[in-house]
Amino acid sequence: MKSESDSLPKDTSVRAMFHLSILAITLASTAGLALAQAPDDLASKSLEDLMNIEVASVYSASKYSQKVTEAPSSVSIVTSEQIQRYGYRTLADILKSVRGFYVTNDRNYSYVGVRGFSRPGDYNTRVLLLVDGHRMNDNVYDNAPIGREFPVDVDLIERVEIVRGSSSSLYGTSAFMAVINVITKRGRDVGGVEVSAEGASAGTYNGRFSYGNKLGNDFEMLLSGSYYDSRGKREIYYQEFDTPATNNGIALDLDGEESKTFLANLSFRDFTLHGTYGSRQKAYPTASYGTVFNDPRARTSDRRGYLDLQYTHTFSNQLGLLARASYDSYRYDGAYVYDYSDNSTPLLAVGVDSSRGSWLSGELQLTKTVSRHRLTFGTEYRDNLKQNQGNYDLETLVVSLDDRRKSKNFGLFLQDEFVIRENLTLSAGVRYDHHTTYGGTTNPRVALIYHPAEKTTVKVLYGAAFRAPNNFELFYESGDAFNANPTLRPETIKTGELVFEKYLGDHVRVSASGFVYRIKGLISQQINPESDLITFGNVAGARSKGLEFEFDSRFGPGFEGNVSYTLQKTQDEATKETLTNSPRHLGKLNVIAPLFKRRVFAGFELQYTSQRRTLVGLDTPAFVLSNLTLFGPKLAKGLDASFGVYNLFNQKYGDPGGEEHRQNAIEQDGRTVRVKLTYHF
Amino acid sequence: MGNVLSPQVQAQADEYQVKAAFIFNFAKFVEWPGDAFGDGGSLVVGVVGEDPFGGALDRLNGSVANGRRLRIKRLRFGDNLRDCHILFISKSEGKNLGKILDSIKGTSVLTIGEMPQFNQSGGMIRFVIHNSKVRFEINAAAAAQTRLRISSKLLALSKGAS
Repeated sequence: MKSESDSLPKDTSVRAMFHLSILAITLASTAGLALAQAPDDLASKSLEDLMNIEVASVYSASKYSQKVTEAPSSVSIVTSEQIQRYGYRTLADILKSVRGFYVTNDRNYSYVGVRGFSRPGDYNTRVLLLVDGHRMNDNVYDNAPIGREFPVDVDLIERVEIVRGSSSSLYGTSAFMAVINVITKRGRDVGGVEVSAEGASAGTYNGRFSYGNKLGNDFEMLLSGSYYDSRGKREIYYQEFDTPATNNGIALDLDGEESKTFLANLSFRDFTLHGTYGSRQKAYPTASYGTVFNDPRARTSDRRGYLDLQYTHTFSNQLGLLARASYDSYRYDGAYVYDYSDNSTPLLAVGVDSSRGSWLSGELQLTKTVSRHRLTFGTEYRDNLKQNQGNYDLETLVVSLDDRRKSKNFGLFLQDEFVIRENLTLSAGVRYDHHTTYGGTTNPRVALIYHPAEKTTVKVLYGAAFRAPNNFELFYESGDAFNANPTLRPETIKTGELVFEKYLGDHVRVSASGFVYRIKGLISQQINPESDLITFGNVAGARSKGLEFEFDSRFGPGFEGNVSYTLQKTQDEATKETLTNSPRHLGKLNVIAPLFKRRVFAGFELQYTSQRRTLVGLDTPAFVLSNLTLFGPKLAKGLDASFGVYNLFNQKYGDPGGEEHRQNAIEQDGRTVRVKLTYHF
Repeated sequence: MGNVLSPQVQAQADEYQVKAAFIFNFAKFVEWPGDAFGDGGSLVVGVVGEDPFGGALDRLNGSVANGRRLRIKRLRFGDNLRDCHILFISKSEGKNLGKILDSIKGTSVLTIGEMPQFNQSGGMIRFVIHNSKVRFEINAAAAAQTRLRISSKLLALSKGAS
């Protein structure tokens, strides 16, 4: 049976995309002509100020700032200005806009796909998510939170760096397909008190209160808190549950979400203290894991937070030092309602999955330039104080799983950036990791960066990485859905990429890249034939190859445009079949244009995702998503206003479900709107 | 103070917009001999070779530094470069650097470049990127052979001076 969304006429979306492309190109070319003479505020700065401005650079590719064209990776950056002007609401929104990335949502969590790779049951374990360099992937699921469970309000993001390819040579486990580093704002970026309120479709409200400033020469602080509440869609229909006994397939009021986040950034001279806390509850309507459909108790809760103290100093002999110590805590609770009724007695029981993780981390890093070598040495230590998973019955409190674990791991890495000639750089690094659960692993990365001409860059990149099995994959067991598999080994990947970048004239950058990724011992969900339950295994391997093209342009003050296209093929190594949830084509178009004498900015984006194979072997149809945001900075004194329409043409589309879903595809939101006001005191 | 090692970085800007702003500042902190200016009295900033600035230099056209209006001029190797007050020698002119510098000997042209061998070859101010920030090195010996007067503030801020 094909899902309902399969029957959509495809040509409407294609036509819509065509019209919008024309619109975008017209906007862009007008922009090129308009090239207004903006007052150059840089020229009015003093020499001392100019000497403190960083030129466009990326930190996460090498663990120090360098020009994007010098980074040993393919890098994308999303700035706070783009977040405002495109009206991004979550980190998932931000990632969706980036070349080659796609996001799958199952109406509970969001899962990021990179280079055609997004496995069902993968809780974002194959990307490493950092906040200000602090590892966010937890120690039970290895989950990188990108939805509302991400503990940083996107308003507080200064920029997001996305580094593609393997980076285990710097970061260890999880830096498998990509590293995403979210850099938060500092006190001076807020510069006073800021209050923000928004209302959106489906009974959604969001508020934020922030205070930030630089106080004197040495002290800077930012404190912020946000509250989000959404009723969600009232009724969600799933044809897989369309029987009179299961409310004719309608999940009623099971899409609600609530989240609270706090952030503190304090710095005193060379010391910085970062703290975040986020708590999020979500109801889920999909009756996943064979639970009872349309039961109001179906919900999950995630709470995470950390404190991170950091010291950075550059000594007079140009030795750079970074030292940090941090404490993290993660708590997950999920309620799953099961039907144990027999013919005579009805019995519904609520099983609660409950995970508790906490860990201490320490990190030390030294950087020094010796003649033409920039050397970086680092070490990292993690003590997983708690990695507990449990399951109990909510009423009887009978415990069916009580798995308590601890572990430790450490890593040592060395990287050398060697300037062979003025236009040729070799970056080579290697990292050794040792983990008490699975032993040691060594992962290298080598990059050759060549500038054959002014404004032209060629990068040849190679990297190896690993992803350790997480405790959920290793030890989680439940009589209703899962078998444990403590024999899992780390999976490994080798990534190769050739990148070509060129600046054409003043405002245009084009880039093309080809990549080959090869994964071995892939940890994947499968059905245990004996128990008929989900279990994880190091099954098979996968290979992904593809081409990416990107065209980037800043036409004039306030205008910018970006178009990218990804063609990729991701196959099971043994069967040569295309993996599930792997689109062959991804296209993106992003345009910002100032309107009404730069009083308002229009941010428009189009995202094309081709069809994706689902677990039962059907395809979800291709779709085009379009979002439009109008952003008015300083509409009145201190007031910013934003109005956004998401899924502008009400495109109907679905994302492939996982093993835990009965749904072949999970339908996503139609058109929604959001109004947001931010007042700056 | 931002540190190159710190994951939390400073606000960022386009490299050549920053460099253009530096050039504007150089125009303020360097004194040319009075007879170096023609009738209009404007200060000519020339770029010889491929222009890496995008529109950044053009935005300085017409702005005023030390009472003199800036005029941006695009030039090629072989053109007369002696009428410039500031001459930015692009990386594309690596092969011609010696000849370009020779051709302006005896004038009061402030030369600016980015090539690694720029100051050794007799250029006066070389831009360098250090820890993702723009810095400059001054070849005081080359400047001393001209009638240019470089302010002590500029010399103090140049790399290696502190």
